[in-house]
Amino acid sequence: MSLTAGVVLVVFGIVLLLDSTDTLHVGIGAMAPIAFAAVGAILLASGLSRGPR
Amino acid sequence: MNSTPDNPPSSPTPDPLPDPAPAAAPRRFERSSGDRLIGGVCGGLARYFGLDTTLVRIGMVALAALGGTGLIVYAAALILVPADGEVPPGPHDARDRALAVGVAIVLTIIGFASGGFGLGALFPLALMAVAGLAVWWFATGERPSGGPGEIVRRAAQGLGLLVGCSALAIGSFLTSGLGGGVVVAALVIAAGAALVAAAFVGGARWLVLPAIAIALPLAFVSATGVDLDGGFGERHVRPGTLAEVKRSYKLGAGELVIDLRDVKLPAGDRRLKVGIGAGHALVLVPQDVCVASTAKVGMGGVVVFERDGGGVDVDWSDLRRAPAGTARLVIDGDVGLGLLDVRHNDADHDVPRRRFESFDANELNDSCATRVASRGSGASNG
Repeated sequence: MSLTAGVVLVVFGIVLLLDSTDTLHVGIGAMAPIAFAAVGAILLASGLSRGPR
Repeated sequence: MNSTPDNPPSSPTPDPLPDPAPAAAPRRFERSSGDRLIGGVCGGLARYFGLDTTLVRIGMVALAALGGTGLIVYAAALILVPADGEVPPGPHDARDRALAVGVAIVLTIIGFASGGFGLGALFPLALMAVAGLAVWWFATGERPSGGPGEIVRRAAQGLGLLVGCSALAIGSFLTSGLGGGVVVAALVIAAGAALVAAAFVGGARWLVLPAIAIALPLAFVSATGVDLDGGFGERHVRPGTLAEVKRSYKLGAGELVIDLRDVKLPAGDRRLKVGIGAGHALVLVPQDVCVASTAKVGMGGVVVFERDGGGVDVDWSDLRRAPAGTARLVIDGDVGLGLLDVRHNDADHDVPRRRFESFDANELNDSCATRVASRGSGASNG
């Protein structure tokens, strides 16, 4: 879980860094799916790592 | 420890068959330990009345929405109703129950002291407790279990986590909006790197929630282009002469009113830049001035007289030509989150809606040609 969350956060952070430095412009129409996908991936990894209850 | 002759006939050991012959023993209302989301109250009620648990939960949520009654009923049941298979209360349980009853009494006193019947004041508190439990559940992956005291403790922990993450999110929003997006992005990357390292050496899992809490506001600010530089609050400017009109007005967050109605604009184009990070920018223009406008809006809308547009990533353009000898104000708007509003009059608040009512369309038609023509025909009031 930590590995997945870490990789997702690093990639997401790089996108945000590029956007903040105006190297890349991501509108909210694209940013929203990226953000939801990042959070979804972390939740999925978290859920899978806990296993069935 | 095992069953003794003193035990009541209501089976000390669980029956392997699913709920056999309920008539054999008097039905007891007990919280369900198998069918529960929080404390098993709805599951217990459903079993007692022979209903579908989902229906009972929906009813409880509906009661919670109606003044918080459902939350109080739930809290009372959590405190007073034993769980199925629960061992006879020992000293620890008794202490938990005393604590829970004490908390309930304090909340009730606060509720009554706040006025009314207290339910209105209790509702936010109960909602916070539920939110705390939900956050705790999300963070740990464990459903609340144990006695009421344990549940209250976990709700408080969850609430603390929620408050901490909210503070981080607000800090991230402000920092990003004020130009510190690079720093926040670097923090997100650092947290991600720490988590990758933690996958091999252990620890640091707790970084996930704070990292998400700072990443999402930055993503929002970056995507919408919210620029909080320029101050906060309400700013009202009303220049009296053309010389006092600036080329550009900007506000970080709040309401910006640029009232140009006292200004006599000469024939030809006059450009005006209006920027607002988050909030409402209102430009009031003289009646005899034509308006052309372009705007970029991250999330929100633009209203220029009777025309409007909105949504996300809005690229607004309404470039009207003015007849010769007429003043034209060319507005270039930059809105992160909010509304750019251009009107002739303060009272035109509901201009877009008024289109659907019966009135003289020419009254609000800002077609420059129409307006000039109507002035030329001498049909003006002054």
